[in-house]
Parts: sequence; C-alpha cells; structure tokens
Amino acid sequence: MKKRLVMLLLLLFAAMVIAAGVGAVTIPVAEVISILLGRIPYVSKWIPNMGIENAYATIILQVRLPRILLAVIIGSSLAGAGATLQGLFGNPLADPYIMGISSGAALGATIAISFKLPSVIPGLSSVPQAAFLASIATMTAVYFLAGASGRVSMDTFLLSGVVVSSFLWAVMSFLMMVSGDSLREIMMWLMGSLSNKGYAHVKMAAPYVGFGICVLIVMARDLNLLCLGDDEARNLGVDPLPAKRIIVFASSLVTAASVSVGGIIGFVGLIVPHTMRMVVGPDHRLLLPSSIIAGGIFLVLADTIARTLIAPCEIPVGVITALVGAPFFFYVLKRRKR
Amino acid sequence: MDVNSCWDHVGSRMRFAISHALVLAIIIAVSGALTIGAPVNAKAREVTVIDALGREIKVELPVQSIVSIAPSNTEILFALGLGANVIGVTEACDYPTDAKLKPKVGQVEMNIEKIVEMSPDLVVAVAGMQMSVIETLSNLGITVLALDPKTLQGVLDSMTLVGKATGRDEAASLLTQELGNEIQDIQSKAAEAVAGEGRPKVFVEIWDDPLMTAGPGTFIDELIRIAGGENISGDAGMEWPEFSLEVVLERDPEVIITVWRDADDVRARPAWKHVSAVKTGRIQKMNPDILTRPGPRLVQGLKELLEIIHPGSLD
Repeated sequence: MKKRLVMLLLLLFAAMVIAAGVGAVTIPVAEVISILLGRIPYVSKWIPNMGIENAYATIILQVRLPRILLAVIIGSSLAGAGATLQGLFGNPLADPYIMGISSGAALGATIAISFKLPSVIPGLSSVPQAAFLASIATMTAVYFLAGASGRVSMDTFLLSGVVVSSFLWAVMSFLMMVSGDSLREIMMWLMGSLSNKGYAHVKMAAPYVGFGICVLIVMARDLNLLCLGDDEARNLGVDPLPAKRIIVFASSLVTAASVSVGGIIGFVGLIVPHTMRMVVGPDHRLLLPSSIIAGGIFLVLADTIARTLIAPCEIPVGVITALVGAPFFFYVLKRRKR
Repeated sequence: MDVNSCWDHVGSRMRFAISHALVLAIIIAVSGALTIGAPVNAKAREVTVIDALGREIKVELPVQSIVSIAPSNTEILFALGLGANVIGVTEACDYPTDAKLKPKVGQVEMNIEKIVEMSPDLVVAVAGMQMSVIETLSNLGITVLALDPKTLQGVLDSMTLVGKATGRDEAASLLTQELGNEIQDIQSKAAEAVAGEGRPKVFVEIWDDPLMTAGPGTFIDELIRIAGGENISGDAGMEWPEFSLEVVLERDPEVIITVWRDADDVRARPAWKHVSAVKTGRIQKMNPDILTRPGPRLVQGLKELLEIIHPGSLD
C-alpha cells in the first residue's frame, strides 16, 4: 500500500519536472536543470552559473512553475473531492461540481467580470476572489437548505445542490445576457484554463486545498464505514451526521478553492477516481490519497499538452482533459475486464 | 424536410406577393383618390446592389426607415448622414450618442417580431454572425443588406455599398475619400517612422484569464501593420487565440496594448517585469470599439495606434 503511493508520488514529481522542461519556448535541457537546481538552497552553490538568459529563468520560474503547481493543486482537489463524493453518495456519476459549487464560482466570476469589480488582493484580479466568496456562499446555502428539512440525508444534499445550482446558472445566464459586452470573457472563464496565472493564485488556493485534503485523508476510514450504511457506521463507532458534514464541507472547500483559480475544468473529478478505483480498489484509505496524487499527475500532463500542442496558441485545458480522459478511461475499463 | 421547407418558402413568397399586391392596390386606390388632377410623381427609383453574401438586393429609393442590427452598421449609417432614418438599433449600438436614443430591436438575439412590426425599408446586418436572422427576415419579405468587411479597404467598400443601397452615393464617396486620405496620410507617416526606428514589436492583450490576443485576419493585426508595428501574435493561425505567455515573454514586446485591464494590472504581474514594454512603461489601454468595429472609427483607432507605436510621428 505504501509502495504504491510512493510510486505515484515519484510519478507526480517526474511529471512536474517534464512539464517544467517543455513549453512553447524551447529551452535547452541543461539550462532547465541548472535554472531549477540553482533555486534550491545549498545545491545552488555547486551549479555553475551558465550565464543563463534572464528570459529563460523567468519563463521557467515565473510562468511554468506556478502553472504546474496550480495544476497539481487543482487536479488533486478535483480528483480527491470526486472520489470522496462518489463514495459518500454511492453514486458513480457524482463529481466535485455536483453540489453546485461550480455554479456559485461561475456566478461570482460573472459578477466580477460584468461589474468590473476592483481587486482586494494585489497581483490577483477580482475574478478568482469573487468566485471563491460566491462558491463558499453557495456551499453554505446548499448546506442550510439541505438541513432545513430537519434531518440531513444524502439525497436531500444532492437535491438541494442541484436546485441551487440551476438557480445560480439562471441568474448567471441572465447577467450574461444583460452585460452583452463581457459575454466572451465570461465564456472563456467558464471553459477553465491555467493560462497567465502566477504565485498569487497558488497562494490563494493552496491553504484551503491543503487543509481540505488533510481532512479528507483523515476521514477516509470513517468514509469507508459510512459506505456500509448509517446503522453499520454507528455500530462501529462513527456518528454518521457529523462525519458526513465534515466530509461534505472539506470536499466543497477544496473544490471552491480550485474552481475559483482555474475555472471549471471537467472530467478530472470523474475519471481519475474511477480509474484509481480500478487500480487500487475501493478502500478509501488508499483510494483517496492515490486519487489525489493521480489527479495532480493527470492535470499537469493535460495542461502540458494544452500549452504546447498548437503553440504559440493554447487550448483550454478542459478540452484536453475530456479528449484524453475519455479514451484513457475506456482503455482502463477494457484492460480491467480482461 | 427539404420538400417541406421548400414549400414553406414558396408559401411565404406567395403570401408575401399576395399581401404586397393587396397593399399596392390600396395605396394606388387611396393615392389615386387623393391626387386626382395633380401631376403623378416620378415613380420611385429602384437600385440593385450585390451584398456581402453575393445576393442581389433590390431597394426602392428613397429609403425612409432603416434598422441596423450591429453597432458597426449603426456607425456607418450615422456617418453617411442617415441617422434620422435609423428607426431601430441594438442595445450594443452606443456610438454616436444619438444612436443610444433609438428604439432597440435586440441585444445578442434580435427581436424578429419587433423588426417586422417596424417594417423598415432596409435592415443592415452582418453576414457571418447573423446568418439565421438574415434568412428569417428575408423570408418575411424584409429587405436585408448584409455587410462583412474583413479589411480596412473592405470597410470603405461596405460604406460605398450602404451609400448605394440608400441613395447616398455622394455622401459615401465623400466619406470614403476623406477616410482614404487620412489612411494614406497615416500610412506615409508610419512608413517614414519605420524607416527611422524599424517596426516595434506590439502585443495586444484582449483578455488576461486566459491570455487572449488578436491574431491574423483581425482588424487589429492589419491596423498594427499599417501603423508601422509588428504584431507578435501575427503567426497565431487564429483570429482570437489563447496565446502562450512564455512566447510573449520570449518575443519581448516593446509596446503592450490592453483593452480590458489597466496598465497597472500588467505592471503588477511578476512574470512580466522583464518585458521591454513594462520596463519602458509603454503600456497603453485603448477603447476596443475603435479597433474591432468595422466602421468609420477604425481610422481613429489607426491614428491612436500610430501615436502609441511611433510617438510623435503624427506631428
């Protein structure tokens, strides 16, 4: 079990290094290595200064690296949240967006774009900030709506998520219609992309994602028991209601943070958990961490394709996740059956 | 399906013909009754033009009422002195100021019923985006003129076309001559500047998240070239591509033009701080309408671009 996780971590590291070396601008391998190693304390002393062009260092350290980190953060969150919600709802179609969080983020982004809201955090546009606030508000609304009936069943949760989600989409569509000018910008945001992002985005999302993922991994055992049914879980010492609340909260939090910095990137939260379930089995103590790592690997690689395939132009990464994800999923499915 | 739509077509044609004949009969009867004894007016002149879709459009002159369903068309109509004849525009038609006071016929989607109710003598549309509206209105018997200029010269030609279709040939030729002279003047000044300073590399940021720019085939690309600059995304292969940030940094633009974000937003991005345009402060925000709307103000956009790309060359 440990061995598999370590292997996945090594794969993730390899994917990140490859992604740092590949891009629309060709940078010689020796320079990539020396730029990367030159940034590590102590090691840097042993790296000869090759008189590297400033632009190359900027491209690797300020353009590629934050983008790769963001891909890891978003990929891990979406895959982790997807695996959790599929288990919790016992529904293979559940994905991180099913609770309406993406609609909340989309509405927040739409408001920020069409009303040209000013930014609060320097170096970060108002769009991710508004998206994050709106998705947290949505999460709270879904939470209270689901609780309004007195007892919280998972079906009520799903239903209120869907209802809130469609309501917010309607509000958003109306806003888009009224503010015709910003229509294209909003559409582009909705498609999801990691283009032109910096460390400010990484810093904004990382704390929530880090915290949320830790909570999910800690709750993996409880999630296993919850999958057996409420009564079984109670007999085995887990109080179902608070456990479910914590799990829903943590997965919503990581989704909210990643959607607000990356837009709506589909397929990762659906495909990666299913693939990992076929590889490592349904035990969430192994499934969650491996989905989280594999989500990072998948999005890093997908984004590398997105930014190099038709260089100097880029493809929205959501297009690549779907194009690559679907056939890959079928491949895994077929191999599994054999 | 095909046969059906074909019959629909014939049906609507016939209905149209019948209703037309009826209206005509009534008009003749009424006017006959009113103008007994008076000399009969010279019969209305009819012009035939070929629009951007290659269709033969017959327009009866004089054109009294026009509906414009694109901001660029509205600007052309007003520039030709037809402002008073415009009876309907879109929500996006914000120039000139008088256009904003006109009744609206739609935003992105056009309100067909409203346009039919207005029964304008002419609707001026844009070919590419509005094919279905053009088809619907034409089938309803409304005369629709489609414009679709792709180049600066094409814009001048479409002004000539509108002039011809509205009997404003003279105004159109005056306008295109004036604009043509201005373009020529800018062209020669730009050529002079290029001979002295070369072609500065220009990056146009249309949108920042994702990073989008103007590629080949856009007016922006053409205007930058005429104004003596080099669009660094001229090889993008698409009109409005998502563009690679690292390629922007590598090509190191000397001038950055934004249409959405402010210059300060660009300056605040850590990755951009070594870009020449950021170091020298040559970041300028422009009104996108004068860069993208195929109307008379493109020439103003061209002028502003020259001033930004080769400062002082206009004097």
